Amino acid sequence: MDRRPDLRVRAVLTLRTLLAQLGKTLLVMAACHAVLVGVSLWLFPPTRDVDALDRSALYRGAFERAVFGALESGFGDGRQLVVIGSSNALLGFRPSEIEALLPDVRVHNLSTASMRMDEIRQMVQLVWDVMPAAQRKRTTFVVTLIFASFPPPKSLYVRREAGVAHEIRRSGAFVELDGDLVPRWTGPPLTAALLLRRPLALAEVVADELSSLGWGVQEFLSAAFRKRVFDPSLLAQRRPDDVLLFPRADTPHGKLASLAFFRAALAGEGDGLGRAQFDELARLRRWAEANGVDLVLVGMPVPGWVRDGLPYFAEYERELRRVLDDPGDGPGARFVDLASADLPMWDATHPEPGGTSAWAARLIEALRDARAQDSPQ
Amino acid sequence: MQFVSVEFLAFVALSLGAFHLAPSLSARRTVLLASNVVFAAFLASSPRMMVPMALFLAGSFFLVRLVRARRERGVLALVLVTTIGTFVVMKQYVPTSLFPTWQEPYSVIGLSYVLFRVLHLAIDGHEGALAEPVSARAFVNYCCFFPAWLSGPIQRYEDHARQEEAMARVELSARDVHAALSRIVTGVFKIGVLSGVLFELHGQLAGIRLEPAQPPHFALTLATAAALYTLYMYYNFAGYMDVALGVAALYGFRLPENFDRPFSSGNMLEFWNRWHITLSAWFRTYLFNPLLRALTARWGSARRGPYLGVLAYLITFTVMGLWHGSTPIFFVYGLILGVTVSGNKLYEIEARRLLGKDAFRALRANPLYAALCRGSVFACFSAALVCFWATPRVRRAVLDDPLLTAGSYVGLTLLASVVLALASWLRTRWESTTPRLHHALQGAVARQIALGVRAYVVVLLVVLRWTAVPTFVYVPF
Repeated sequence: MDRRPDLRVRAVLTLRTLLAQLGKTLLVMAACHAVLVGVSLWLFPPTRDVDALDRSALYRGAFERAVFGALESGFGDGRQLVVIGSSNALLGFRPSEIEALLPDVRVHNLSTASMRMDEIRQMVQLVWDVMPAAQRKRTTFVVTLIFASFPPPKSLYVRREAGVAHEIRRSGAFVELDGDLVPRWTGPPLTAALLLRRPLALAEVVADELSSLGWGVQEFLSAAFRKRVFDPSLLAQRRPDDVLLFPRADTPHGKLASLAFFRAALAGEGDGLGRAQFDELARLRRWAEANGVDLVLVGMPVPGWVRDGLPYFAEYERELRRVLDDPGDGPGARFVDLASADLPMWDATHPEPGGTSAWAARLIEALRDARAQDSPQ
Repeated sequence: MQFVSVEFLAFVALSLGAFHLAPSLSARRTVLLASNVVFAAFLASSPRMMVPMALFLAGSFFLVRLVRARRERGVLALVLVTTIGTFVVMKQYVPTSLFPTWQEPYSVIGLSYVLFRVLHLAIDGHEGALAEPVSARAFVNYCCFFPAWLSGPIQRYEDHARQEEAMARVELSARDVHAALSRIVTGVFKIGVLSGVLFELHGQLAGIRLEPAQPPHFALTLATAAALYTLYMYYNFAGYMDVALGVAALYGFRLPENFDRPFSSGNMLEFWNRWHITLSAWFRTYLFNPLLRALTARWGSARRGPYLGVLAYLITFTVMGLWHGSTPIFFVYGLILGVTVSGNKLYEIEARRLLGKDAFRALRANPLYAALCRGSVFACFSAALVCFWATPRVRRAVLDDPLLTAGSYVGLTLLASVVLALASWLRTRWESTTPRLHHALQGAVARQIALGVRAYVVVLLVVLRWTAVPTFVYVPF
């Protein structure tokens, strides 16, 4: 038989206990979060500018580094250059080296490895979206172009999920609408969200450092399982800060191997590059024109043996010219071509590690030349 | 609706609030019923998909009432055949063209465990163990109790009914709520972090690196992949049980435990008293015991008696394997379980006979022997679980080279022996050398802070991983 008054009393007491316990738990969790926010600000204060290779920064993921790191830098009041491209831009255009040549300009390098043109476009638009309006007028976007950013639909580069797409989904701060990345919030809510998600980034730093320490164990296990080599000396290795993706290509054999990689990874079925990624470049130009974005497209250095050795390179140049020569609704972007520039190369696309200052100097020279051509006489 | 999801949290919060605010026992029963129905609705993408399940429940309810009212063996047989037969057809264990079937897609999630509960009610009703007829509401609340719907634990009806009766007197203390929340946090950690990481590691190893053409490499990778899968299965399943028990506790229900440190078992018989405990208990009560009685009645003697138990184990565990699925691989799985358990029993019988009881007891107390036994249990179970994840190519390689497979098994046994012995030693050291810490953590404030910190770390890790939390490994069953 129900004894209602007794049941009601028990219910009230139980609910009060439940809510009290939940409340206390949430309070402790909030306190933990606040402490971690503080620790993250103390260990990793917001950086002045973003170097995507900077391992002392809070954000370790390529996308987070690019967008959240740039956001936290506050963009500043002066002129800035935002470099977005693939691994050759990541390694070749070091912010400190460029800033040494342009003292009044801040440089953010938001490039990541293996960016396709559609991802590059999304990143440019995304950074533009989260940037304060006042800062947009003082920003030049430098987008680097390389044949590897224009893979055909069936190629390996398109079939696998790109790192940037994965990170965008993980961040939770952006949604994809009609191929564009749109921030969920802007302004103060975005700033608050950025602050509150710092503990996540801090946890990733811990994971990243542990991974770095465990690099030796990974190498040892990989050698044991894959190559059946038992080498305890591998255990002591630490992950190098600047991991070059490809072996050096300065011998005939190295060059052949490099060409074989790009043929396999990009050309795939051998049908050519197709137009899809070139249309993304055209879309970027149209968007830049429509929004008044100061956009510079940089054709990245390509050695002669690559031009001659890749079957689709002629198609790449032809399609690039087609997009760039299309008058459209306006120029949309300036184009500087470093494809034939004589710069120190490591392999088919990447700079020689000790030669990046030459890359920086060549880029600045080309940018100044392009600006001089545009300036009224 | 996954247990580790915002939707489930919101659902439990609303249900819990409504439950404790309900003004009477009858109202609480109704809130529980509504919660179970809502949870069921989330298991399928449309309500129509749950119609066959609803019809199964309705039909089973009628049959349970019938068998209690008419306690003839023929009626029981009819009820059992009808219920099990319908289950077999719904799970498509037989070609569906032989029977009239539902033409649209339908959900069978949790059906296996509903079946266990229905059979338990039918058999106990026939034997007069149910004091009163089961009402429709009580039947649904028992069979479809949402924390235990997906994969148990399988609670006995009388236990559930008694606790349901006591719902009017539920009053949770701070310690009760703390224990429940702590259990839920532990479960989320096991599911969202541990099982996720183990699943990924296993996937990398089994998917890419398991190459039968490279024998020593294959043996090592097979053993490692098997071990990782076993651990993934344990943390996934045990984690879901932790969440289920913790959530049930917030309603004032104490569900039976389903895991009790299974990898500390010294033999396969003990293992099945520690792994999926309620399933083992169900099979022991409703299959093994009656089967053994029947075998003993038919062929029993003082000499044959123990060996009939061996046979009963073999049959029981083979059937348990078949319950998981109808394909040949599940028969193999059940056979491996049956052979290992019955083999273990046979070994114990013969060892006692040859060594004598005292000597055998002394042998079992030997630390090295005990460690090897624990390792062997782990390796046995891991070997059985290979059926669930190995591709046809890997299975062929395992069968084509028994020596290699045996080597892999021995290696896993030795490795597991060392690791489990180390884990046991560490646990003992921790428990014996930190009494002051344990004592300090007994205070209310300390416990609250510890829970909050644990919950925060778990949430951070789950969000950080941001991979799809592995689905409950037992959902397909």
